[in-house]
Amino acid sequence: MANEHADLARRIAEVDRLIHEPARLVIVMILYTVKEADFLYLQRETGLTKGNLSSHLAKLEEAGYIHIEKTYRNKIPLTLCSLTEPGRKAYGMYRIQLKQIIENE
Amino acid sequence: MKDDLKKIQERTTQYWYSDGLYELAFGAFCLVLALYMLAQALLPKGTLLYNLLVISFVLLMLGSGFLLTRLMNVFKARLTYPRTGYIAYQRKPTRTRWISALLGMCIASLISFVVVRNLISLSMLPVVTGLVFAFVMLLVGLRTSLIRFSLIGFIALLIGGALSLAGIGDSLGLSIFYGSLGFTFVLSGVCTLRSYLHSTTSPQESSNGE
Repeated sequence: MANEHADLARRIAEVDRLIHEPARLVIVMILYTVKEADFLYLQRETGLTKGNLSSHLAKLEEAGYIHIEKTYRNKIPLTLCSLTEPGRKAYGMYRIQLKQIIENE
Repeated sequence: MKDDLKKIQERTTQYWYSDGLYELAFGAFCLVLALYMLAQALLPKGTLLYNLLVISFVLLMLGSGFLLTRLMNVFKARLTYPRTGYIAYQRKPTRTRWISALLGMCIASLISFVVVRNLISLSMLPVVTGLVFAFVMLLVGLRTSLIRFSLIGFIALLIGGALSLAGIGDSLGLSIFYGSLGFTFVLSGVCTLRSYLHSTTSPQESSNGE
């Protein structure tokens, strides 16, 4: 029994914490379903403040999970975000790990 | 988790239709098609103008489709993206696109075969077209979980059925069919756009970007 709990704790600890955070998980989930999305769309969908969203995006970019492109559209600043291949793989792995934890519960 | 991802996928798909611009563009395309069919019904067969009209069908449809898509994208860039943001959709896998194209060609070939071989009378053409539209709209409605598309499909079937029952087939029947369907799409688009504009703030009120 103790061994089972230890194994469960180990598997939970192995889950990618960068993705596991609720706000970042939603961001990754949105980007997983599209090719790219701008800052405004992500802000509206996640309900986060500009500062909060910027901070989460920066963390994901630092990990190499997302690519951020700052550009202009009709002279208005535009921030485009897309999930990178490592980001896509990390999210796929996160899903598998979470599924295994829930199924073996 | 799977359900949440499905919900997010559904929301991103719905986002494309949230402003009603797609319906407005498709409605305008149907109206162009209605005008073409009307011209075909009114012009005497065998005349130069009639033959030119027949030859130019593909060009006219491709041209108006291209123009309306461009117009829709321009309006989306000016109206939708500054208000609620921009997303680019992932390209469907090549296999899915081939299957869709093949299915479309099969349906078109089947209808052509049935009409050319006189398996059904020309007066049945509107109800057959209505059935095809109803099926496609039902699929769009199911994919997007937007009931208004299924409703438009039902209306298409009703219009087609009524025209066939009245014995108005051929070009005139199709002209009335596409005209009515075009107005239905435009009406749906106007209502959706109005609701969208009411529920979102203009770019002047809220700053865009980061």
